[in-house]
Amino acid sequence: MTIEACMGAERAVPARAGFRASPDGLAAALFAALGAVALWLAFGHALGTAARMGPGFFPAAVAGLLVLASALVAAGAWVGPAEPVERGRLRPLASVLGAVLAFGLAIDRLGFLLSAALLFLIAGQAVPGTRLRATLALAAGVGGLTWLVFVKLLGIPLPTWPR
Amino acid sequence: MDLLANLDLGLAVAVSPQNLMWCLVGCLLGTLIGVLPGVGPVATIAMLLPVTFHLTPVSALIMLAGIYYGAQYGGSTTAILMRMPGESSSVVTCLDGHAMARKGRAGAALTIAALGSFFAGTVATVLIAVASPLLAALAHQFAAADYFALMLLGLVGAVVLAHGSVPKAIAMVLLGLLLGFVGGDVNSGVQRFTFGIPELQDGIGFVPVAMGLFGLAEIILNLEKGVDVYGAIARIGSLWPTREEARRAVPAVLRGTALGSVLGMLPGGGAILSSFTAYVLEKRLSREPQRFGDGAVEGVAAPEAANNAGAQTSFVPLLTLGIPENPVMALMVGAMMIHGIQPGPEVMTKQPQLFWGLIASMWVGNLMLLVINLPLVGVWVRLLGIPYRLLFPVILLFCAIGAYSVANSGFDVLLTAVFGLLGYALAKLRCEPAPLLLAFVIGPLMEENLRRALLLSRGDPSVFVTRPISLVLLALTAVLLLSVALPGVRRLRETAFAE
Repeated sequence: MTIEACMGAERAVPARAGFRASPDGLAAALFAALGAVALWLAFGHALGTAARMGPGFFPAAVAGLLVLASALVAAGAWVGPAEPVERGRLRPLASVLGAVLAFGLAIDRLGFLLSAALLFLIAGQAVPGTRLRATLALAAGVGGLTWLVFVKLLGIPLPTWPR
Repeated sequence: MDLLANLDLGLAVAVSPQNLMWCLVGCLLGTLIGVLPGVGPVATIAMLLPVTFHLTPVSALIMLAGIYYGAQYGGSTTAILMRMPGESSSVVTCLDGHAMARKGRAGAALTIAALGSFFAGTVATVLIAVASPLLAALAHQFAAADYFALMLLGLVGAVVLAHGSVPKAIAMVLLGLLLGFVGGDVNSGVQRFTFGIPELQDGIGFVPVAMGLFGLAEIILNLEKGVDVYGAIARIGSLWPTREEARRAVPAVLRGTALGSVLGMLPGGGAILSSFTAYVLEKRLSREPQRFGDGAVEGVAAPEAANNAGAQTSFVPLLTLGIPENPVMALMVGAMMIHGIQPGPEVMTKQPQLFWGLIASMWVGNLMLLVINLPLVGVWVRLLGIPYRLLFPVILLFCAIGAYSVANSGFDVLLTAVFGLLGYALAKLRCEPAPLLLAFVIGPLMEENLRRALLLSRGDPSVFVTRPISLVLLALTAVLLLSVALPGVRRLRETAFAE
């Protein structure tokens, strides 16, 4: 984004409101934090010399560059127009991630069929007004079919029942 | 006539009943996910990697490749009929393809897209067969320093060609490299970045990363937008183009094929870049650019030919140099490693059946896709009647099964959710995930080659500029990086990504 383009854009969007509002500012903060943590961890390992690099050498270099890059991103956010971060909604986020997490936690203990049912039940919460009966029908139908195809036909070793 | 003998060998492998069947499965799946918006080839290939454990390596690669180029065919169908790109590489087809559909020429647009793709696929297959041995011969000259320079070029290519801001793309590459370091260090065995979690000792698997960033994040974003039942579907009408339409389409297909074939082979390239560039080029060359956006045949023919050509020629760097240049190829590296094949110049000489079989299968697959797509287009369109609220839990289940069965590990499923969250956050912060995934796969190789190069040179960094191959590659990298700062290139980037 050129400076001119930003000036043009300034008429359309409200005046720059600092880092908090912009996606670039937040991205810069995220990159800086991750870079700093990685840098700190990398320095915990031997750096070695150029000819005999230790396990910390390349990671430290990359982490250092990430911190530098985050400064560049931050600079871009500072001169750029203030765009608000697009608002998210908790419901789809929580139910999709929750469904996958539940499957991952349950699969080794409850087996595939029950874990799949759990996944469908939680994922169904993403869309308001999903009927329980429809979800259960979907879980039974798709769960059974996938079990047939993946476990019976393709021979993928998924535990079927609780143990 | 080595080439003919090789293609003959490949064709014999490709038309064996078993491989023919897996090729068909790949093409059908590719078309399916191409038609369905919100499921891309990256997530699908990641989901299906574990299934390929039980296939022979050549069948596995044939099927996975079919998914990628099959998606290019399927993606155009939704773009033309509903103005909704099924794949990101069909985004530009929406503009003129759907405009044609509104004028009752949807059938002609579909035919032109499919025939253009088929022609491009055929040319690209021959091109891969011709170019690969040459590049592989060159690759045998490569030392560690050259490989390091090549990977750097690949990563910088991914940065320059990513959407949006360059500093953010650089940061994404660096983040990807850091994720690649997680696990035991190859040389010393020291555990890095594992936070004492035993499951991380062997590193983070690429399936959880790819599926989380590309699969889960996409699903969450789709649900947020509240897409449920897709919009109106245009009537297909006659499938035959008029003489005038054919006259305009033919040269556009030729240009699109040439452009896509070249761009597909470049680091960071592939189907998406090819289709965008082809559209911009057609608009520039046209004597009546105002027709574009209003149903110009060229605006369908050129990008559709280009994306298929680009999808196929992006296999060239993978098969000859062993270096993936886009996320799909990064997953193909994973697929090859699962079967114990080290991607690189040796594949062609040590496993000619696999190499030529895969290439020949692409042509066979393109032929299948022509049949799958043209007469059967109505069947695919009907699939769009499935509401998203029923579709997405099924996709989630497949993701979970895929993540679990790579290593029979529930931990990998949890990791997928973590990367889903990261992918979602990055999308909100407008960061493109492709450079991250690429760097994640390349990272360990890059470190290994850097270490080896400097070990051999006894710590003298001048090895990177005294070896001619490495010097040329580093010079190219510098040119690419500097070109972003040029106003002309910058404007081209902006217009290309804006459209």
